[in-house]
Amino acid sequence: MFLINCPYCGERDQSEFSAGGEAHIVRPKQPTELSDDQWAEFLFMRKNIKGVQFERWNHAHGCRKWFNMVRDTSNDKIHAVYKMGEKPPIK
Amino acid sequence: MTENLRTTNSKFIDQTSRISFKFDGKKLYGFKGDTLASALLANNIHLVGRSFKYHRPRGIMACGSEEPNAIVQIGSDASMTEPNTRATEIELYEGLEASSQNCWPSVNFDIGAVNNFFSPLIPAAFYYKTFMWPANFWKLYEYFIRKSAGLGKSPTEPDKDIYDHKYLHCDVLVVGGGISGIIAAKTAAKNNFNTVLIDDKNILGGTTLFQENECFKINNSYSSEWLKKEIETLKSLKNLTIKTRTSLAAYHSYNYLLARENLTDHLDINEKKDKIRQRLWKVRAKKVIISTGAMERPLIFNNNDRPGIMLSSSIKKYIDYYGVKCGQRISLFTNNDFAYEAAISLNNSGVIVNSVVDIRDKTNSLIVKQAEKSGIKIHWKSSVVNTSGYKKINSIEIMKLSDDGTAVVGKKIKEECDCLGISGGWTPRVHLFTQSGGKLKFRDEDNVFFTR
Amino acid sequence: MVDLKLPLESKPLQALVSEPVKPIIDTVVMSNAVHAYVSQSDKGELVIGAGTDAYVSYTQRGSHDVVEGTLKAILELYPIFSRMKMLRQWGGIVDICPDASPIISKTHIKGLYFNCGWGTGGFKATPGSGDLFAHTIANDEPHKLNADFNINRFVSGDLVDEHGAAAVAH
Repeated sequence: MFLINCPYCGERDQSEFSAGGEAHIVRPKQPTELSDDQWAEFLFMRKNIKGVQFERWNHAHGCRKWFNMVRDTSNDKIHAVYKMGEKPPIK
Repeated sequence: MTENLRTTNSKFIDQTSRISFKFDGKKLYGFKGDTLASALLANNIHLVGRSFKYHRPRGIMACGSEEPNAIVQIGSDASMTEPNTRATEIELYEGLEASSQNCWPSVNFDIGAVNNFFSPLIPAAFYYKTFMWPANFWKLYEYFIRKSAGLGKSPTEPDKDIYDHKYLHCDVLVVGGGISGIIAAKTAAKNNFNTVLIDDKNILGGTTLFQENECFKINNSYSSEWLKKEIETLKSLKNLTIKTRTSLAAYHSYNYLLARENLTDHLDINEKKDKIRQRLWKVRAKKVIISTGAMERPLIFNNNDRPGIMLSSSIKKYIDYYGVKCGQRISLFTNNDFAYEAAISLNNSGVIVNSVVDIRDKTNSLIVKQAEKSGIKIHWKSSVVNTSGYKKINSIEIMKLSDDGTAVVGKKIKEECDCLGISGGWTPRVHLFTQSGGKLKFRDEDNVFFTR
Repeated sequence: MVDLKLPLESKPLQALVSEPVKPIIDTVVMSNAVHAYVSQSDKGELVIGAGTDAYVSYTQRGSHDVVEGTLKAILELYPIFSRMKMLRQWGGIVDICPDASPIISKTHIKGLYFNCGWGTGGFKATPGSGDLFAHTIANDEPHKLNADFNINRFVSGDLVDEHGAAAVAH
C-alpha cells in the first residue's frame, strides 16, 4: 500500500486516493475532424509501461483535487508528485 | 498413566495453580503458564492428530510457532470454535476445550488410516483428478475426495466475538523480542526514535530465554540475569512501546505492516466476556527491523514422522521451562552441538539419556565435553536409519557412517526409547524479509538461506 | 515490428486462500452486490477474490485495502467465516481491455492472431476460448460466438461492455 505525498495535503495512505490512469494525454481540439483510428487512439490506447510512468491521481477522501504522479510500475516507487498544469519535475 | 512427567523446574509455570482443560472430551490438568502442548505432554499425550492424506499418527514436534503437527480444534461451540490452531501456541486457561482433527471416529482409532496401506497407489503429489474416468463417475469420486478434504471444521454460526483495528505510526518497528530485537529497540528508543517492539509470545526474550548455560553468558552474566536487566531498561524508556502476544502477519509496500494482537485468547472462559478478542494493528513504520531469529531444522531418515520424535531444542524448552519430561528414556540425533544442550538439561533433571547419535567424527566444543563428562554416551559418525512404534516411537535403529559419509555400514544397533530429539541445525526465519521483497542467498558455512 | 497497438492495461489481481477446513460450501458463489467470490477447493481451502487494483503495476504485490474490502464482502455473505485464518495471498498481473471483455481475433497482419485481455476471467473460460481461437486460426475467420470480440471494435465503437457479466467488475 503506497504512501502518497498529495501536493496539497502531504503524506497520506493510498486508500484515500483513487487512480486516474495515464497522465498528459491531450484531448484533441476538434474531435469531429479525427478519423476513427485517431479517436480510438485517444480513447483507448495506453502506454502500459513497465517502468517509469506518469499518471493522474485524485485525493478522493481528502482535498478531492487531481494531481500528477511519477511512479515506477516495476517496483511501485513514487519518484515525484506535482500539481495539474505544472511541468513534470523529471523526464 | 501414573508416571510423573513433571519436574520442579518451573520457570514458566506456577505449579501452585492447577488448571483443568479437556482434550478429545477427556478432563485433564495442567498449570498456569502451560501451553496446551506442554500440558498434553505432561499428561503423556503425544498423539494429537492425523496427517492430511495418509492419516499417519501425528505428535507434538516443536515448542512454538514452527509447530507443523499439533494442529487442533479449539472449542466446540458452533459460533466460537476455531480450526487449525497450534497446540504449542495456545496458553492454557481454565475451561479450555480442544480436540484432534482429521480423524474419525477418534485419533486413536482412525478409519482414514487405511489410506496409509494404499499409499503406494496414491503417492505424494498424486493428482486426484486422475479419478476422472469414466467421466460420469467423477461425481461419485468427488463426494469421497471432498469428504476427506480439510483438517479442522469451520464454525457454522456467526462469530459472537468483538474485534478491533487501529492505526499505528512509528519511526522504528522491531519485530521479534529476542536478544537482537531487545538491543535494537533499546538503541532506537535511546536515540529518540519513536519505537515499537512486538513479539508473538507473552514474554520478551525469544531463544535467549532458553540458553541458561555457562557456555552462553552475555557480558559475563547468565542470560536470565541479563534479560531481566535489559527488560527493566526497556520498560523505563519513554518512547518505546512493547506489544507482546502480537504477531506480524503481513509486510506490504512502503513499510505498511499488519500485526495481530491477541487480547483474550489466553483468558479463562468467564473472563473473556464482553472484551475485544483481537486487535489488528495497521502499522506504517519509517524503518523496520526484522529480528525474528531462527528455528531448528529436523533431520531426514525413515519414519521420522512418528509421535515422540521432536526437535531437540523443544525437548530442552519443555524440560527446563515447563518442567515437562517429553519421555523417560530419550535418544538424540544431531549434526551439530545443540542437541547436547538438551542432553545436559535432561540429564540434570533425571531423565535417562540413552545416547546422542552424531553424524560428525568428533568436535572440540565445550558443551560436548560437558556432556561427555556427565557420562552421556555418544555414537560418533553414526546415523539413525529407522524408527518403530506406530502411535508413539518405541525404538530406533542406528548404523555407522562410511568413511566418506555417503553410506551406512556395519551392523544395525537397536536402541529402545520413548522419545527422540533431532537437530539438523538452524534456519533463519527470513519469511518477513522475503515478503518485503528481499532476496536470499545460500550461505555455505552453515547451510542456510540468508539475506543477500 | 508489426506496428499494432493493443488497448490493454496490466493491473494487479489479488486472491487469497484460507486454512483447509472440512467441506462447508459446495458451490462457487459470486456476488456483484457485495463484490467478491468464494469457493472451496477439493483440498478444503476457501479460495477468495474480488476485483483488481485500479492502477498499472508489475510488482505482483497488490495492496491491503483490496484484501480488506474483499474479506468484508465475504463476511457480509458468510459471517461464519469470521474466525478463519487466511493462509496466503498473492497478486497476479492481468491484462484488461477498456470494455472488460477479451480479444479473440485475427488482425490485419496475416498469420497474427490474438487471444488476450481476459482480465479476471481467463481461467474459467479457457476451454471455450481455446476452442473458438482454434476455429478462428484454422478458418482465418472468427466463429460466430467470438466475432464480436474482434480487435477492431475499439475503432468501430462496437464495444462488448459487459463489466457486469464478468461477475466481478474489473
